[in-house]
Amino acid sequence: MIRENFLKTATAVAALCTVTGAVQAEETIKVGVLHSLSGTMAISETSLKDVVLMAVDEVNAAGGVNGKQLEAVVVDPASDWPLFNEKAKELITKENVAVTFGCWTSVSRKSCLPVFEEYNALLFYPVQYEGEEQSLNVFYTGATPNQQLIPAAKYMMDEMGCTKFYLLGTDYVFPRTANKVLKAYLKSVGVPDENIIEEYTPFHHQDYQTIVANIKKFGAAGDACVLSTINGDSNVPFYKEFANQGLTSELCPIMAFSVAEDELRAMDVQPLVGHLAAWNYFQSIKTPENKAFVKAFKTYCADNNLPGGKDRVTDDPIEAAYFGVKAWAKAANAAGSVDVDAVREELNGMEFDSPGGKKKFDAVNQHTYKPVLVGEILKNGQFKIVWESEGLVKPDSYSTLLHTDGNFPAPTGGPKK
Amino acid sequence: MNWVNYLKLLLLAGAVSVQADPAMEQLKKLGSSDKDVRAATLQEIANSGDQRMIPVLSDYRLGSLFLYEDNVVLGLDIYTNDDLDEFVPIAELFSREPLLKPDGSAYLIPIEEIECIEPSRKERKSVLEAITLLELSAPDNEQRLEAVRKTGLGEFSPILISKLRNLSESDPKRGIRRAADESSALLQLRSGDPSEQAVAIEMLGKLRSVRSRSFLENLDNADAPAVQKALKRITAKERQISTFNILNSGISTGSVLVLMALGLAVTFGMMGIINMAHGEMMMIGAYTTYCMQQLFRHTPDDPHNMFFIIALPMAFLVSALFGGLIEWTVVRRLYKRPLESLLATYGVGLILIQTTRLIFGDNRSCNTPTWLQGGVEIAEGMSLSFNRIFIFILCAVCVGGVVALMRYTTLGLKMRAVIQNRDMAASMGINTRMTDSFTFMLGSGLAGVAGYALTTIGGITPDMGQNYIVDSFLVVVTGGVGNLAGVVCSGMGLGLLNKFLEGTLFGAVWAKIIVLMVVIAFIQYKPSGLFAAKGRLADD
Repeated sequence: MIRENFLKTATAVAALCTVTGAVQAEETIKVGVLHSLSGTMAISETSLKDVVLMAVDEVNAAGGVNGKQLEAVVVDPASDWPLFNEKAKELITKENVAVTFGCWTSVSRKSCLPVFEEYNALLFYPVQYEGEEQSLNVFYTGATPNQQLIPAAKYMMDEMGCTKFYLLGTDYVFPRTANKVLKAYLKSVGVPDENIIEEYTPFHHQDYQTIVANIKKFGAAGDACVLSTINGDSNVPFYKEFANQGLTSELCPIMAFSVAEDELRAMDVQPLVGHLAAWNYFQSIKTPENKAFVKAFKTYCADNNLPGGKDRVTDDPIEAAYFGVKAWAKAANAAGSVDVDAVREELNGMEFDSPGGKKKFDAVNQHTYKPVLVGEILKNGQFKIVWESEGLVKPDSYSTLLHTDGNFPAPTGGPKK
Repeated sequence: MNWVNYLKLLLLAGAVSVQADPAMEQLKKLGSSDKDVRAATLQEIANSGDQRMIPVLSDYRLGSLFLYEDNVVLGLDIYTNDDLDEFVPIAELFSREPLLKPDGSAYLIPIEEIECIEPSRKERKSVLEAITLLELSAPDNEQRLEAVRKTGLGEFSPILISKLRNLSESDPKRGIRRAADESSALLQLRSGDPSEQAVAIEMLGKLRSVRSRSFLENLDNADAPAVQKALKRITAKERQISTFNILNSGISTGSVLVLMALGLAVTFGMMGIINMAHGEMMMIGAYTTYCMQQLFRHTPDDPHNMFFIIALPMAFLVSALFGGLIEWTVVRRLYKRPLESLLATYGVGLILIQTTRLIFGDNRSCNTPTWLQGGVEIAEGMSLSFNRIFIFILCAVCVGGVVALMRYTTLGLKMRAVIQNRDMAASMGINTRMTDSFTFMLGSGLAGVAGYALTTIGGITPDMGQNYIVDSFLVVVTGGVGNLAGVVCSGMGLGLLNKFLEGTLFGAVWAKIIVLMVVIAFIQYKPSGLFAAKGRLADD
């Protein structure tokens, strides 16, 4: 008797599931979220997942895309690069997502890129990176080197009067390529070889004594600066050692390219105060649009009981992840479809609003026109904006400094022929 | 109503109405829209020698001065409400005490309603120069020395030269007289007058001024024998400094290595247990220190240095307790199966890492207590930072403590007995189980102390132990398993080798690779390490 009842209920439930499943499939458009929620990258990528879900909610509240609601499918590639490839495939082939928002590290993007190109699917990549890539299946909402590194180096020369540059980074692809671009730029404006030092440390490096002593010697005349692409947990020991050896932001300013508000949230900020960072967005941008965005994000985190709650902050990659969703929805609405080729057509050259102001996609290279900002680190982990580019800076997919002959590789991927 | 605050307000009002303080009037002029007025005012302040103006000018540079009701006030940390509207709490300029309303509540002025007095980016440098000029007559020796040094890199001005000459003749501190000579020579070098230049070159060579190298090299007559002679002297000095730096950083890296490996030398070296969760014991020590900081509410603005002293025994105890727990639940059951204990402890380590990540999150950091910040300069270009000195002392104390414990206490005697021959020790009535537990806890506690010490160098992450576990094993194996003297020698040796390689020809990445290669080669040649066990022990 009991068993019979159980069977009946089970069948009924199963039937119901199938029905609702079918109804949902008709009414919603699935979008993929491919960010690490565990492992070493979780600290940074979780915030991007949060903001993407918030943006999806906002798009839905505004009527969705082409009259349908969006449904986010969140997967966890667990900071494991090959797993990004598998999870991307799962999103595209099993879940049939219309678009995917995801990746942080370049190696994770490179790992899943072949999948997006094979199925002609669409990825929005929200983090500043080393450039030298253009896939028709990716829209890059983060900065390219010419939108972050070069204006920052120029700022150090023009505003801070620096003539010597210590390029210090963690040993992996972003700092290596970034420094190649920086070096090419510095040389092109006449900085002699002996005034540039390039140095790398392994991941998780903690002992910066020798390097700081070298910087001290290098900058003894007070005209040097550090351009830092140091990543993650190595920043704390570096800045601490810097302060302990008596160096200050006046004697030798550090310009960082990988330190943003979300990382500063947990750090001991004291040794960093007064040093600089270059980004395309800061939480401290004082426009009503940005205030509304910051408030919405804090409220979203608090309402959904996310760790940190109201104390959460926004930063450059968070903004880029957010407007990626908004821009895609706008393009899909304009195209009247979520077909990748149709949406791409709309996105190329499209102008749109973002928390940090008006932006637009390049007409041909899938990257984003962005403003460049230099900020000084404050005690509360926020930035005081001290310099701003005039208008938006055009993105280079391939650096004009590294391809001086003007021959750029053709874009990869795109519609199947 | 609080009468003290009332009095403060009265004083403030008095300052305005009576205009007793010319400094206030000067500061108001800094808010002028005419940049010539601002420049002249800044000059006036710089020449006034008014020491109270040093912190005020720093505030001015950072944009913390505000004009409120025709009065210059200091803006404290901006307060942001839930609607992200920003408010400035204001304070009295010189005392830095918050201004309170008659009812005792703080003034919170909406940021839009208060005018900020701040220099333009271009003017910031001259503000710094003005501060430096004021600091030239600061009573504090450190501050004065720093200021004297800074002037050498600034703009040439006759007033500055005469001030420096004065200091060079009459300052009570020898170091400051010397720095004044150097700075005035650096300024003369760029004065454009050839005869002054010649004097300056001679002087800079005599002083072996490291800072002057790039200026000398960029002179038009850089090939002249006088310049070359000066440069030669400077090069000799630079060599001294770099040797010192290599020794200094090598020894302090070595102390960190020894401190980390000490606990492992006890558990792995003496007991023969491969404890892969050893690094996590270190991580627990670091997080304990972090918890102590939170408990004492230690922040850079409101330091409670006691937390750091309490944290030392706490880090040891908490790690030791965790160690005891692991020994009791896992390791004890696997004493005879070393490979399985390796895997099991590795698993325990992973569980600890993820649990910590879930509870505390990544990348926490401790604010070092104030007395461990900064360093002491023993000669120009040669400075020792306090945190490194502290680690060196801590390391020496720990090594001494462990040696004393093993040699001079009954407990140590029992430990040695169990290590040497378990069965014999048991038959003599020693409780080997208890001794094992205790030895393991001691090793884990020492790892906790290492984690505690590391918070003064870097950040705290759940997987920080993983970065150090390899290095620790490296030290113990190179030193000779089971030998404390070996651990000290190999730890210091590897630290010095690493820093020598990093400081001379190779960068940090290559230095690490080469050190690993050297160790591999060394183990081939001497499989049982620097200090091999002799006699009966060697058979095991």
